[in-house]
Amino acid sequence: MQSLVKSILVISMKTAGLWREAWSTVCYANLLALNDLSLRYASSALGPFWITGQMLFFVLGLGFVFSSVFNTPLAEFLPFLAISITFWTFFSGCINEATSAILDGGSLIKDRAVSPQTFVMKVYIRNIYMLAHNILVPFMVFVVFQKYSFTNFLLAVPGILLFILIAGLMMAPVALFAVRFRDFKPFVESLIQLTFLVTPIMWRPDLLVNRTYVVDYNPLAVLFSLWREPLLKGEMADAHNWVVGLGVLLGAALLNRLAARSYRNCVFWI
Amino acid sequence: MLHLESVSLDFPVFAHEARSLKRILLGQSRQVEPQYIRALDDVTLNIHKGDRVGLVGPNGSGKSTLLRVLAGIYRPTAGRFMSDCRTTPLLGFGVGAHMDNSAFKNIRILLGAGGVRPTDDDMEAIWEFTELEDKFKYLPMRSFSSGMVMRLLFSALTHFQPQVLLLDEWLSVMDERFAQKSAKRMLEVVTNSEVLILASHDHDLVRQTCNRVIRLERGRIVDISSGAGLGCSRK
Repeated sequence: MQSLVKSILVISMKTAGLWREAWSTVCYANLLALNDLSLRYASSALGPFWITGQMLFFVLGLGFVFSSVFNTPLAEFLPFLAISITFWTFFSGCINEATSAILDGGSLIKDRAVSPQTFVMKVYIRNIYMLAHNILVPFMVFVVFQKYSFTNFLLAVPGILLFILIAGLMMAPVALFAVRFRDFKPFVESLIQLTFLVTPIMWRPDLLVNRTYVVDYNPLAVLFSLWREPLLKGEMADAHNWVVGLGVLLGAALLNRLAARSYRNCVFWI
Repeated sequence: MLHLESVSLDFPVFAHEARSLKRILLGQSRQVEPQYIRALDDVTLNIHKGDRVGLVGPNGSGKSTLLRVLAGIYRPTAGRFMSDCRTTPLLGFGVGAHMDNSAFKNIRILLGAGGVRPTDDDMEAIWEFTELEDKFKYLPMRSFSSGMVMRLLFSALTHFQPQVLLLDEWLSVMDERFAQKSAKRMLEVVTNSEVLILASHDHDLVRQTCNRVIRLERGRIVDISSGAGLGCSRK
């Protein structure tokens, strides 16, 4: 009995130690992410809200042109574009910036024993902060065009959380691969550009008459639909889409676990 | 506290073409696998509380690599490494500092790398030690002279007492007025740490500071001798 209690105590202490360490990593990653943002916008009078301003002009500019190109009323197109571009910026930021995350922290990893995970987490947290600033743009557009509905927002929350989680899980494999293979970064950048064009972000999926497989077999399009449909139409996404979304989550989690084994070796690749 | 048992470390060195995914996928890379360089070879070492260990040896002998293994940065490719303490590696003086950051922000980042979250009192104490004017606290560090930067970095890095201190060369500040003060602080930190492991090319310094001097050559321990230990005044 005594040895059982002792074992439980040892395991509890080890678990508590691991949690403390993980929390310390998150805190340091958060400090670095906030520092990056403050440095980036230090010379701007708007501070980090410069991000929001940039996004607003981008969405308005694209919205006016492409609502005309697609012959869609502005009141329908602009909310769609604003919310899609905002989350696409988050997703592409996470993946693109993951390619340099570990290399940028090279000296702290090699000389101060800071874990490589810290720098991947820093990029993730930084993009979450940027998303929090950018989200004001679709919010303003929704209010102006009276598309705002709290019920719709609640219906979209699970899809949004899944989307943000999957982006985070995909970062570790990308970051580690980019340390091992130095030409992986331009490859990822090209892939992200292509993905932007073939995913319904600037164009609405219902505009596709033929070749609907572009959307049907595009996992990112499915991930977008999981929260965009509820948000814009007040309808939950199909069960089929949820199955695909959860499958992508499982795949991303597996890739993340497989890649995480390389964290111990990546210090040799820096 | 720190135990190395027949530890070897093979450092992978990739050919330029082996770092290209495109070349590998197109079959244009003849050498995909890395070449391995033995950086540590069958190193057995037990370090206990109170030890002051000096590592000496020519360039490329494995001093810095051994420090990184002890810090948990490199994992041995053979043998066993066991540690039941928290090590504080100070292997590069200005690592982590960003010249566009204010002095105070840099202090938080530098200490955060070691898992330390300084209180406001700590920040003030660190600043006081630098003897710099208060107006510099929130100015970007690029406006500092190199001497001021050194003062700040030194003050921040030596403010907290580490349990196990790993040093790649002794930390010192060349600033004439500050040199004596910093040497005294450094000696305090080293004296109060439970374990010191110092890699240096300065044999006299190592012999005066450490009670065990380990000579490395080509990743192997070739000689262990005793030093005068801590307490002797440094040159």
